[in-house]
Amino acid sequence: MLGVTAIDGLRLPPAQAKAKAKESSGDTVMTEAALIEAVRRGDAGSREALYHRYKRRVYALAVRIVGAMDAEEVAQEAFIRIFRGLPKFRGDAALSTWIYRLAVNAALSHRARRPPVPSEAAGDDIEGAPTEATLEGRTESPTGDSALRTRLEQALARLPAGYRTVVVLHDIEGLEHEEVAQILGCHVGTSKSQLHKARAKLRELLATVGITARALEEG
Amino acid sequence: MKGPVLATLFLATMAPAAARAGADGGDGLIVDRREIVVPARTAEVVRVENLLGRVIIRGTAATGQVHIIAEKRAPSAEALSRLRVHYTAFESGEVAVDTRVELGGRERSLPLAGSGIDLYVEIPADVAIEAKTFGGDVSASGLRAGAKLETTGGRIGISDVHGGVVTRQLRGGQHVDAVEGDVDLDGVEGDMELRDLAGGHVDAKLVDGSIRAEDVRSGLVRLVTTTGQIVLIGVIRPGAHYDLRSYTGNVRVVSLGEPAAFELRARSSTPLEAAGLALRGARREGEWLKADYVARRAPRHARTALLELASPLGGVTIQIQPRNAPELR
Amino acid sequence: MVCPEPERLSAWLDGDLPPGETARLRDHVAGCARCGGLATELLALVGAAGQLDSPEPPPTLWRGIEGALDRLPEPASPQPAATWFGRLAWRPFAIGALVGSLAAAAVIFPTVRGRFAVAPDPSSVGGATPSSLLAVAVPPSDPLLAEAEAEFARAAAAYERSIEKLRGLLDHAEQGWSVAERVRTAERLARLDEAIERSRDFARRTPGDSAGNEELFAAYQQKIAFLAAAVHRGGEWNVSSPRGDR
Repeated sequence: MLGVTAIDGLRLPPAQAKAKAKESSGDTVMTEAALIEAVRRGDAGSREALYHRYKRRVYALAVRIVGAMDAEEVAQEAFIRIFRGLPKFRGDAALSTWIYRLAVNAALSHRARRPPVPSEAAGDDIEGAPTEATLEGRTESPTGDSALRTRLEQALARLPAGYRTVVVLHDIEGLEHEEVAQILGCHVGTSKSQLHKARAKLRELLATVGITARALEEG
Repeated sequence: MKGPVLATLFLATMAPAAARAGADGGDGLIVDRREIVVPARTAEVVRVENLLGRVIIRGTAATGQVHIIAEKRAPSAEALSRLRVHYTAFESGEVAVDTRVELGGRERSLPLAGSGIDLYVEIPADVAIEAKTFGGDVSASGLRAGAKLETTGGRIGISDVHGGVVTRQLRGGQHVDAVEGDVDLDGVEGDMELRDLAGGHVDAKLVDGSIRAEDVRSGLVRLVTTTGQIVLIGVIRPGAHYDLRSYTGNVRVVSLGEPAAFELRARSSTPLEAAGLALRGARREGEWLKADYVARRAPRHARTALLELASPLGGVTIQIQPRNAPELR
Repeated sequence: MVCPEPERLSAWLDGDLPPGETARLRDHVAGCARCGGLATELLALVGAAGQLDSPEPPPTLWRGIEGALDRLPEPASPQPAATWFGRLAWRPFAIGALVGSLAAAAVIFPTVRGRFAVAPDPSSVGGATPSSLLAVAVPPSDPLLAEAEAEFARAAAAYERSIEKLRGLLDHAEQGWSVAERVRTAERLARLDEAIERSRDFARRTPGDSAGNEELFAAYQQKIAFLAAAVHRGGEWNVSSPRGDR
C-alpha cells in the first residue's frame, strides 16, 4: 500500500508515508474480514474506511427513523457503538446486519430518550393535503420523479416508527426478513406482518394526495 | 513502482534548476517557483491540501501524470525555506499533494498570512479531485470525474465539470458553472452563483448570503439561505421538485416561457406575487398557501412539478418571462 | 371471495401466504378490478421505495465521531483464547519479545490514544495528542506560529458571528413554538455547545496543530447546520427529509 513520498525532491523512506485503505467503490480493495482486522489492529485510516463504507446506510436509517434534525447525532452515536463493539464482534451475523442492528438501536434509543415533539404546525402534513375531489379540473394527480420521491418520503415520515423501521430495512435497504428479524429482535413472522401493515398504511397515505400506481411506476 | 519512483526523483531533482528561486514577488516577497511532474498512470483520485494558499486545478487530455507548479512566497529567505510541498503516489491509486510549514522541527499543515504557497495542478480529466484550502481560493475546471472542494475563507470556482460536485466553505462566495452531475454546495457567508447545471439534484445551502441560479435542469433543486435572496431563473420542468427557502430574504422564481404544470406551496410575510399566472384552487393550510398551475398546452399525462417557496419574513414572487426577453439581473 | 385487506394482498405479492390461500387470492385478483388495481399500487410502491436515495451525511459527521472516540476511555482489548499449542509456541520467544515490546510500548501507546496512527514519527504530519511523548514544543515566540493561530482565531470568530446571527433569528422564530419544541431545541444546543467547548479546549492545548482547530470548526459547522435547520423548520422536529434539509 505504500508509495513514494518526495519532499521537494528529497525521498523519504517508505515507512513514513501514510498507509490508507481505499474508500469503498465498485472494485472494493478490502474484504469485510480484512477491514475488521485492520480496525482491530488499529491500522491508520481503517476506521475511516469502515465509516465511509457504511456511512450512507447508517445515516439514511437515522434520517428515516428519527428525522433530519437528529439524524447526525444518532448516526454519530451509532458509529461510536460500532467502533466500540467491533473488538467483540464474533461474526455470528454478517457485519452489515450487525451494523444495521446497532444503528437501529441507536435510533430507537434516541427516540425513547427524546420522544417526538407533537407538531402544531401544518407543515408538510400529507394527510392535510387536498384529495382528488377538491382539485378543480383534475382527475388525476400525476407527479413526476423528484416530486414523487418527496411525497413518498413525507408519507414514510408519517408512518408509526415501528412500521417505518420495517419498511426502511426491507423495502428501502433491501434486507431479507431473516435479517430484519435479527436486527429488530423479533420473529420472522412478526417482521412480515408488520411490513404488510406498513405498506397498506403507506399506500393509504399516498392515495390521499392522489399518488397512484401510474405515478409511482413513472416516477 | 521502481520505474515511476526513479522518474519522479529525476524530475524532482531537476526542477530546482528550472525554478525562479529568489525572484522578487514585487511586493517585497521572495518567490520560488517549482515544477513537479508526478507519474500517475493508475491514479484515480488526487487529494490536494494547501492551507498555505490557493489551489487551481485544471483537467487535461494528457494522461498518466499530475503536473504541479508550486509557487512559494515569503518575506525572507529563512521563511521561504520553511515552506514545503509534499506529494505521494499510493499504490491504491491516490495521489496526495499537501503543503507544510516547518515549526519547531516538525512539518505542520497550517495557514499563514504573510507567507504562502499557491498550487497550480493539472490532472487527467478522468481523475477525481479533492482539494482543500484555508484562506486561498480553490477552483476546478475541465474535469470529468467530479470534484470536492473545501475552503475556510477562499472563493470557490467550478466550471465545466462532469460527475458530482461537493463544496464546503465558511466564507468567500461560490461560482458554479456548467456542471453535469449532482451538485451539493454548503456555505456560511458569501453569495452563490449557479448556472447551467444538469444532473440528479442541486442542493445549495447558505446561511448569510444570496443564491442565484440560472438554467438548472436537475430533477431536485433545493436552494436554502437564512438571510439573503433566492432567485431561480429557467424552465420549470415536468416532475421536478423546487424547494426554495429564505428566512428573511425574498424568493423569486422566473419561469422562462410557460412552465410545466405545478403544485405550489408558498409561505411569505407578504401576499404572493404571481402576475400572469393563473393559479387554481388556492387555499390556506396553516401558514402555507397551496394552489395549482395547470399548463395550457400540457400533454394529458404530463408530470406535475412541485414548487415549495418559503420566506417567513420576506416575499415570494413567481413570474413568467418570455424566452426571448433580455437577460435578467 | 370477499375482497381481502390490503395487507393480505401485500403478503400475497411477497409469497407469504399458505399455498391454498395463495391460489384463491390469485384467482380473485385476476377477476377483481379493485384488487387488481390495489395489487398494482402496492407493487409500484415497493418498487418506488427501493429506488429512494441514501443521502450523503454531512462531512462534520466523521469529525464528530473521531473526536468522540478520542475522548472515550480505551476499552480493554479482548484477548483471543490461547490454545495449548499457541502457548507452547509463544514461550520461547517471550523473553526476547518482551524487551523489544516494552521499548515500543512507550512510543506507541500515547499515539494510539490520539489519532489512531500506526506508528509515531517525528517528521510525519498528524494530530499530536496532549499526552504524546513525541509532541515537540514550538517556541512560543515563533512568529509563524503566531500567524497561524491568528488565522485560526479569525476563522473561529467568523463562525461565532454566524452562530450569533442565527441565534437571533431562532429567538424570533421560537416565539410561535410550543414549550416542548423549545425545550428540545435548547437541549440539543446545549449538547452542541459542549462539543464546541471540548474541541476548543483541545485546540487550545495543541497549538501549532491543525487537527484541534479542524475539530472545533466541525463542531461550529454542526451547530450552524442545526440552528439554520431549526430556523427554517419552525420547530417541526418530526419532518424527515433525507436530503439533509437544513
